[in-house]
Amino acid sequence: MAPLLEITGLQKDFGGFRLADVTFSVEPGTIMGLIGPNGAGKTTIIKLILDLIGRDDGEIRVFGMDNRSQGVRVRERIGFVFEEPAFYRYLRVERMKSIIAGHYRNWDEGCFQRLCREFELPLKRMVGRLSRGMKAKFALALALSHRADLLILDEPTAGLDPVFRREFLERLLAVIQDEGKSVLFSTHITSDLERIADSITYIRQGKVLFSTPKDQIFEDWAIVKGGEELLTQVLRPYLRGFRQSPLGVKALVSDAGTVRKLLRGSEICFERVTFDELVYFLETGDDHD
Amino acid sequence: MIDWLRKEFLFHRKVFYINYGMMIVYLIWFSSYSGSLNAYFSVAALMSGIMPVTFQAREDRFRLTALTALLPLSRDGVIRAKYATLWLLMGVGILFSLVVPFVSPLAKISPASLFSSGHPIAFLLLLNIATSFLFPFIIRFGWMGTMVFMVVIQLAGAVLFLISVLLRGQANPFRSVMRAMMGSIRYLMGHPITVSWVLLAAVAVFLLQYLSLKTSQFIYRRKDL
Repeated sequence: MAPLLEITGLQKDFGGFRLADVTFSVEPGTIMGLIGPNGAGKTTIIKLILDLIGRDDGEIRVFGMDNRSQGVRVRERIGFVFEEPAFYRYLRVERMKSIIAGHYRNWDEGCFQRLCREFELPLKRMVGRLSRGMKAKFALALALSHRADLLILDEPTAGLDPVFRREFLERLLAVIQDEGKSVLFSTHITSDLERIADSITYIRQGKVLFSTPKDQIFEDWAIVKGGEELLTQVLRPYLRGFRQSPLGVKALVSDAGTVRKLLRGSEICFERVTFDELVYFLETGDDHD
Repeated sequence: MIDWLRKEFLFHRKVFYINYGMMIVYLIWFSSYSGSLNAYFSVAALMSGIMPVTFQAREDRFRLTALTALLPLSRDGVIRAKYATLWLLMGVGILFSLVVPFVSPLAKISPASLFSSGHPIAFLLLLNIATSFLFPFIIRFGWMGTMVFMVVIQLAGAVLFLISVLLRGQANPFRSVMRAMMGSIRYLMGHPITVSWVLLAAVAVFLLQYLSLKTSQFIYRRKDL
């Protein structure tokens, strides 16, 4: 099956920041996490996909169509939730909905009403008086109610408390599983992605470090804990970042299978890497490109 | 287009009621204060032109530009719809300006005199010159740009005033430009209404708005939001 979203050789130069040769794709029915430190280029990529900013070079195909020349047809099938959804704060929720709904041919009012009940959205309240979490849910309800095939979420859970965040993600996951949507989910709260993502694209300084299925990351990368024997020349090529303390060395290694073989018989402890650790070691380790 | 106009009305309706309510009150007051057709139509043109422009700037001020750009609308279509809104609001301004002298019992302007000279045509031309210039500017520079522009205009006015004071007795380019402008406006206002004059004005209005629309579309197509 053809990818729902296919980005090839994408480039954008802002002078002080450059997005260079970004290539990745999102398969139908999957959730892709877009991770990386602040300022890595995640939001820029999303803005380029949504044609909010123009690209310098490369290609973005959504549902097999060019996102610029066929932008209207593309946006008809895309739903979006941003960290700070852009709504007119002096309108009631239902009025804001009716304005947006009017622009979509596939608007499903029944679906919207059902989601509002599920999300306990107060339709009569002014948008400006909704909490941050409620605004995120409202944006999600809007995104799902025009039967979008691809959801683009840019830091939708930023600023939400853990309980609300978990609830939001569970709702999101349930809806996606039920309806087979694809999602591109950009966040720096990487624990969110461990729960729901199928694949991860890591962006660093405007470049794709890797774009791979989540399970592959857990196979390829690992956390090792041990003494200073970890810092030998043999292991150096695999160390992507480490932290040394009086208690020992904790390090992130790539090509975990090879490292396991190299350290067979030693008392080194292997742990599954979390995305938080992955970002931490890659950004603070001594192996920066 | 209809959805867009509905959106615009819902977004702006409270401000619409307030602004245009104030405009009616002001026009009633002004028509009762001064019997000068020149002054009345100059004020009416200014207000009818500024109102739609402020509505456009509100979208930017409330950061709704991104929301608009994310809807399934082409960028050219968005600009066409913005201009349709502009023309509708200008129409409302023109209607109020022409109706007030007829319905206000306080008006010193005789309704019969309204169409006796070229005032309505000059009013339309001035209005269209102002909006066709300002609108692409707002599309490009947004709310903050408009504010900066207003401040720069005022500063430029102050500087030119200073120059005119300094050059009082000598050749004064500022005064010459102002005289030429006022002379043109007086000429437009004093020109009798003839069929050819109306047709010429209609063509000028159409061309101004068409060029303004195309410029705005060109700008918006390339704008990073």
